[in-house]
Amino acid sequence: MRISPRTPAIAILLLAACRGDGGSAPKHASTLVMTLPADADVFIPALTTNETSVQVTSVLFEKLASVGDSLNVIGDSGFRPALADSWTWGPDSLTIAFHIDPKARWQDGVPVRAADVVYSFRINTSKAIGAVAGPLLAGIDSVTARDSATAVFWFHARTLEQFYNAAAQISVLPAHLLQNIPDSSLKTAPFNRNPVGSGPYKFTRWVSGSTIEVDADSTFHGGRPKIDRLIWSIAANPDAAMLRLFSGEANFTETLRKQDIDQIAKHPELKAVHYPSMLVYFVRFNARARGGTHGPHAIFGDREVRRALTMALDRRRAVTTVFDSATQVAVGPITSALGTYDSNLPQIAYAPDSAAAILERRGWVMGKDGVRHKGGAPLQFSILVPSTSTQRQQMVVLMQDMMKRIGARMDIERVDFPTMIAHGKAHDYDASFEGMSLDPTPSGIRQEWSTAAAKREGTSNTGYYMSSTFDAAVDSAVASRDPQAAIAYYRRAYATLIDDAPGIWMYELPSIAGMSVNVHPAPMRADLWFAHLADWTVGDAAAPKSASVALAAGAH
Amino acid sequence: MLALRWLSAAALIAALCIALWRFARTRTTSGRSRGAFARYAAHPSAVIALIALIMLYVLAALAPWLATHDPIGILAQSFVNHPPSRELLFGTDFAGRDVFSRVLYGTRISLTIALLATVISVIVGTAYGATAGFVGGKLDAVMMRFVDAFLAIPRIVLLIAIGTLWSPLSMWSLILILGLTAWFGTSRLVRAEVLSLKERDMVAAARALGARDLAIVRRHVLPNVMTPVIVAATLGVAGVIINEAALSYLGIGIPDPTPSLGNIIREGTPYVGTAWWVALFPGIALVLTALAYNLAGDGLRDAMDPRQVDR
Amino acid sequence: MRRLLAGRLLQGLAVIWVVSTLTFALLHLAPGDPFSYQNERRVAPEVIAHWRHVYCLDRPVAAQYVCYLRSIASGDLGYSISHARPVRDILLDYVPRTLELMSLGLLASFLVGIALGVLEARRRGTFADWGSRGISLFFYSMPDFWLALMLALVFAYWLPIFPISGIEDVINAPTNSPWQHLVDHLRHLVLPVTTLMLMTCAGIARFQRAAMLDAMRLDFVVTARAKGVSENEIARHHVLRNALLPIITLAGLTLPMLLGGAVLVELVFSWPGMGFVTAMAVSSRDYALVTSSVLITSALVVIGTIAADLLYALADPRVRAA
Repeated sequence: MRISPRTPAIAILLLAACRGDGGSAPKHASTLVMTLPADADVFIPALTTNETSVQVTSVLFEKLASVGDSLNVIGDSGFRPALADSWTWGPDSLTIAFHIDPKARWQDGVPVRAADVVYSFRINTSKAIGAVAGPLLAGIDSVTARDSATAVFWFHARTLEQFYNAAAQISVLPAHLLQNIPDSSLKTAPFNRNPVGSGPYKFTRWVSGSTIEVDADSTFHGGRPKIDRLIWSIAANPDAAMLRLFSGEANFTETLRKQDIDQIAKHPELKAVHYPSMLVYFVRFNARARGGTHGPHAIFGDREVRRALTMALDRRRAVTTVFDSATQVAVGPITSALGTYDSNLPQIAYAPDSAAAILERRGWVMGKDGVRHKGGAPLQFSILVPSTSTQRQQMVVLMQDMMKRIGARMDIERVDFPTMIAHGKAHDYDASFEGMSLDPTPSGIRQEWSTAAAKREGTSNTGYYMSSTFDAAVDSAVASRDPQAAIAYYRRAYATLIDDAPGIWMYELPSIAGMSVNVHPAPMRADLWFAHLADWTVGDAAAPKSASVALAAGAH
Repeated sequence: MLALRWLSAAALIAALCIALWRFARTRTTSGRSRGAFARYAAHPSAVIALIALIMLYVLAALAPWLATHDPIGILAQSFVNHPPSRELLFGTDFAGRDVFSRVLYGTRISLTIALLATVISVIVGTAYGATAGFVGGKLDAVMMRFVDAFLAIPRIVLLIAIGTLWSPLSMWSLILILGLTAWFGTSRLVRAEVLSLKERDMVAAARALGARDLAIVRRHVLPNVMTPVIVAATLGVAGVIINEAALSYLGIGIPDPTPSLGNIIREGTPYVGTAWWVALFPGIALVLTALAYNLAGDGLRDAMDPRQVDR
Repeated sequence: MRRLLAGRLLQGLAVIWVVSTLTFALLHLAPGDPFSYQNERRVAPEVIAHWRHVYCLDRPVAAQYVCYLRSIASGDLGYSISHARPVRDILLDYVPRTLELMSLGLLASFLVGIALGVLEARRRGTFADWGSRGISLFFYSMPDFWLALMLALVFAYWLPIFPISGIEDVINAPTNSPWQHLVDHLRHLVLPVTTLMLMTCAGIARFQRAAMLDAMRLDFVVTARAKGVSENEIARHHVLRNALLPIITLAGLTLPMLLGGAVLVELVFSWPGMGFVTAMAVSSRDYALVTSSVLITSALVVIGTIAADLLYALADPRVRAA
């Protein structure tokens, strides 16, 4: 038995030598390799909120019509045909009949029929499934199949957003493959590991924790997609994902962080692409005492103190430090991608001196330890931050420093995401650094900030913001039949909210994708950047470089 | 001013080392345990390790006094991810915090946690092992099967599970958990020692004289098992330090913004390509601490157990 | 031999029973139950009620315990919320990848460790002995995740000679020939396996060195030397053979450390194994998955230890006869 320490070393050197430079790579079909730090869960759209699954299913399945790039959700203007090639409104606007493209086929060859739409509506509203779209479909009484190619939606009432809810919320599922499975076991159905859709791509393989691959369906009724292959390449964390992009093993990543952007500049083969964002990040104050629903919060129960704490924050500086100067400070509970956005909404400006003065006036007197006190209690609170968000953790550290300067002590409570949600639900927090993904429908703000929402169980208005002025403005906006008047009402609601400072709006998450220069994305939508993946193209040389080509070629 | 503080810290370290050396010299020439001192001193690596440990503990104890910056205070905007320089010895991290000061404080936290956790594990392990060994019989068999089971669980996996189910852990619960998952080896060691002692004359004599069990354990058994326990504990500290760092690295250890070595490495990981210094220096501090404990433990083992000198 | 096997298996089962009791206790003592964090995933109450019922969570503790043991015995480890699949199915995907990493790590660690041990024993007291022991103890004292990070920094980032992470070159995987596939896979293995090897080879080298030194003092070695057999011959034929035997036991002892190391190493290299999936389960609070990994890693250790014992028995005639 002779073991030399050199033997493994030589083997390793050999393997290292196997690295190809891609020069002799076989001509591959065009491929988009997207790297991301999360695996998928299930591939039935109604059953999942998993971001990876949502992306994959968006190219496997279709909706009846898709929202246009203007993100208009009022009426049907701007909507593009998808699975439905046309639609007709009933005379009283209480029905819409969608005509399904006769060329549309499930990838197993069976034509798509109205019965599939009926089934999909039932799944999305089934209590046993609890689909995300469920509540939005409450205005729809029923869906019927007039004939095999026409699905008719029956509404309870006319609303500005009724078309959007019917056409763009439901992904149509193959009833012929699923209808015999009970709703409660749909989630464990084998279909989830081998989905069959009607969309531009068909499912090829899923290696858990590693790869999800879909291939172009050349028989797709909307025309063959331009990229031959889409691959989601799963990494353990964002850092590993970035290294894959930089090493050329992937050619797309949906989010770049600040330091990543600095790196992109050093890689001539890569580019950064900005796209509008629907994510707004803010610090929510709990207006009531922590944990209980009774009694105001010693600090945040006071509107003036909330405003003072807002003034203490140099939001511009915090945002610039963590991101870059191009990142927008949030003006309120909206982002610039939304139709109702207004960059001139009145703001509570950075003014630490006025903040200190207000605190002084409200009885918070500076103590020897550098912390203000009132009636013996210190001006001290904790802020919840999810342990998964690097950016928010960076930012709270900066905020902690700014708070210290006006005599407020902010403790950082770093928790994992589910714990954060659980704390929120139990109202068990002082302040919480949340991110909110906005719905393209502006009326969504009612779910977030209304008095009714604060009183509801399982609300997202966990900080008990209650203002009749705000409620009235939103109600008027929703009730309005005139789009312009509606927008004016919404803006009035935003201004009221900002002035009451139920939270501090920090930033719109900059959406900057990193990709190879040869990847040419179609317009990336703010709500779903991947909405038009089928229209993207990848240039010839853009196939990501393979890791093992040189030796592989020599082995033939 | 700061230089003066560092000089006095160095002087303190030197003084401690000299005091130790003189103490050891008196013991190597006379006294009951002179063989042990001589054997320990015969290992240059163990001696260096001891000096390194003295240094680490002095630096850790004086961290607030020696730190060049506030470990959680943020420097100006231009000091984000700043490379090491004369003013910022280990550079700065993503938030513009001084890595040198953070590592100093982090070492202090890590050493404290490891030491306290090890004390817990020694107490629990000794009590458990002594009970099993002394009582013997069925109870012993059952107790040792439990130890077998716990030894079969990779400790970090168990810690991750506990950390997940009860997150976020406070520093004290972290110490408790690290201590309560580190005593299994010790208990085995103590049990074996107790079993062999039980057969010896002095214990039999004490029992014949009517001494109560507890008294026998206290007077005859414990003093004799302390030697292997101290060796195991010294080696164990290194393991606890690394496990604590691993938990902090996974984000279920010491909560932010308190710097522990694992936390600093975690925060440096995303930037390792561009700001390698953030992850590198706390790692070196970890390796040095663990290495010093391992070497010192090796030296102690050889010193205290003459049967096991370097063969 | 058969009695030995039966005895060890019984012991192993007892250990697994204790561990499963522990995981049950952990699950039971922890705040909430595996389905408490379901709501924000917008899973319908009916579905939660269904799973609660399936896993007996609506019954008294004693019944839950019996139910838990019974389902484990039948191979059902619960339902993973974050993956929306039974835990068993997930583990079937991920455990083999960890086993691969671990067994290669173990192999590499033994090859290098034994080689170093032999080298150190034969050059005892020289600079090579000291240097080799110092360096391996240095690696032994390193936190695994940090070592992995540094290797990735040097060999995948600064000198990009190995893939940074993952198990396959996703571009070519579908069209690769089996040979290309193998090479690609091996390249992805190099850095994680090297990390595991560096971490554990010190212990093996130290053990091997001591065993060699012991064997060198055995009578027949002394006799052989007196007879004028060359040192090389002695080392190869007499000493090494005797010194290799005890090291088999060490394999069983190294397993927990390797498994624990694999957890963090997988994370750094995005190697989709137990560690990877456990860490992801941590952030999504997937109780069933996390406790199952405790159970499964312990079971792997138990199996490994039994295998090592049997191997030892097979190799040592004295035990074989018993």
